[in-house]
Amino acid sequence: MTRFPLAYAHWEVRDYFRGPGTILIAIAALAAVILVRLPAAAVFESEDTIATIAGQSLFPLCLIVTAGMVSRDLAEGWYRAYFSRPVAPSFFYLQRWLLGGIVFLLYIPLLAAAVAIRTGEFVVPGWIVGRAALLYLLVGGTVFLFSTLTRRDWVVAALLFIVYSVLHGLLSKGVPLGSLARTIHAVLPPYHAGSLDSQLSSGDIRGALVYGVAMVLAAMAVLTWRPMGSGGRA
Amino acid sequence: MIELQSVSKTYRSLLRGRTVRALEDLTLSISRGEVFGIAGPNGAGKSTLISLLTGFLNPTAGTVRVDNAVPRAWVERHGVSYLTELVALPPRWTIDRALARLAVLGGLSGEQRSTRIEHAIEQLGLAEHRRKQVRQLSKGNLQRLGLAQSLLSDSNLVILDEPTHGLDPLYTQRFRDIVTALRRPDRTILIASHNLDELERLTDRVAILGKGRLQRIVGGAAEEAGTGSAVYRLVVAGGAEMPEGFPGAAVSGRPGEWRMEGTLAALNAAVGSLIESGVTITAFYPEASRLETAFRDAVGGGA
Repeated sequence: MTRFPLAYAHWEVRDYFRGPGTILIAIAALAAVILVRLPAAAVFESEDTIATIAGQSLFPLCLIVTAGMVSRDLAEGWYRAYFSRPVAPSFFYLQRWLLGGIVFLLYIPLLAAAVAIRTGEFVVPGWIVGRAALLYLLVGGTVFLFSTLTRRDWVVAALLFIVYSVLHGLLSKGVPLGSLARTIHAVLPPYHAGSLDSQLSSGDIRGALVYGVAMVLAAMAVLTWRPMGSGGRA
Repeated sequence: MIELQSVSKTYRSLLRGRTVRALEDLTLSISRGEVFGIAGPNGAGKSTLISLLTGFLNPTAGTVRVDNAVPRAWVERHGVSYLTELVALPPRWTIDRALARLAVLGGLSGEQRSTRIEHAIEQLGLAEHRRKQVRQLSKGNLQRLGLAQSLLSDSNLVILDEPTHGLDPLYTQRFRDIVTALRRPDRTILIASHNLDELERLTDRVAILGKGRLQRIVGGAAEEAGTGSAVYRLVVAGGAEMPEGFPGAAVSGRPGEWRMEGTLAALNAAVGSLIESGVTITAFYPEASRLETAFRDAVGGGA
């Protein structure tokens, strides 16, 4: 086995589709049902509709896809069976995180298909896929990093996201903030880059990419250097 | 193959400000080809020692090496056949799928994978349960699955933590046969167990741990019989009378059962003369095994 357990990827994909993937599919299906039942006179533009639904659902879905991705194995003791094999934990979880991202991004075409049932037009807007990818990198990256440290990984990520969003919203409206609040805003991941409402400069995108990749690398460093066990049996 | 040099492990609870010394100043060397036992009362540090050897924990002090490498690096390169004390696998996995997944992670591919899985299933009698989910398994069947997954790989390091825990007598015996078959010159087998009889039968040496320290290393099955005094029980047919002057002997509570104390050589000579005098011996067995005696001496009778 290589340190990167590529042969195991199909099992991971299967787990995603039996777990969080069902929620992605269910939401897309629900969207289709709601859209089909709306009055025939209502006019929809595919891209706007996809953006509206995605804007409301991407963040919680990102948490659902990534929650407990490392911490559950650690807490339940399953890691002992996995990593008594010739597999590096850092690459094992990197693969899991990457596959989670692919599953997460599949939500946009699914949503596009749901909307197409009503509009008759199947469009997958590239910019929405791009923003969803940035959101996964930032929020999914936060969950990945904290999942190596605590069972409450998604709670930490949600709190950081909310704090950042509030501060960013206030700053965007020109509300004067104290130095502590400005520092917190500057230090936290630039989550606004994953929002469908933001106008992004190339600097914003570059900053989000660097921050996201740094969090993923930090998670891998923790997995490499920090022992997985916390006690003789745990 | 395995070297531990002045190894200590202390658990610290930051929130409660407590520290627990799980292992203290442990120095140990285990050779390739050896079957090595680890015994000790609860909390003696057996599981901590195993976690150090698999690289799931780092020592607080001292060094642990497997083939001169840090354990985690060695395991990531070669893999270890490892049975945990508490078998933990995702509850919705079926036996079939669990073994297939873990075989894939173990680097087995194609036909080799199927062959190993089928062999492990057959060896541990799991065929009728193979479609059951982990959460549906009884304690004994879960333990058999744990053993089966540990047997999938062909590692030179086998670590079995309480391997017969929850197994019925049939599979306990089968486990012994499996360990005997696993022995080979380039492989080290470690067995941690509370079952001293099992360790004495299977291992070459046994380390007795107590309160985190190495109390004693005792030779197991392969060690020559010692010259010290031992207590044996002898059962004779027909309730025959004990001859006069029989060495170190006393009649025990049951008819025809004698309790004898002496060196094994002296006892052998005495038993030989008994047989020559026409007495039929139906059983001759140690009252307490050498390991049991050593264990009691090392960690105290109350342990």
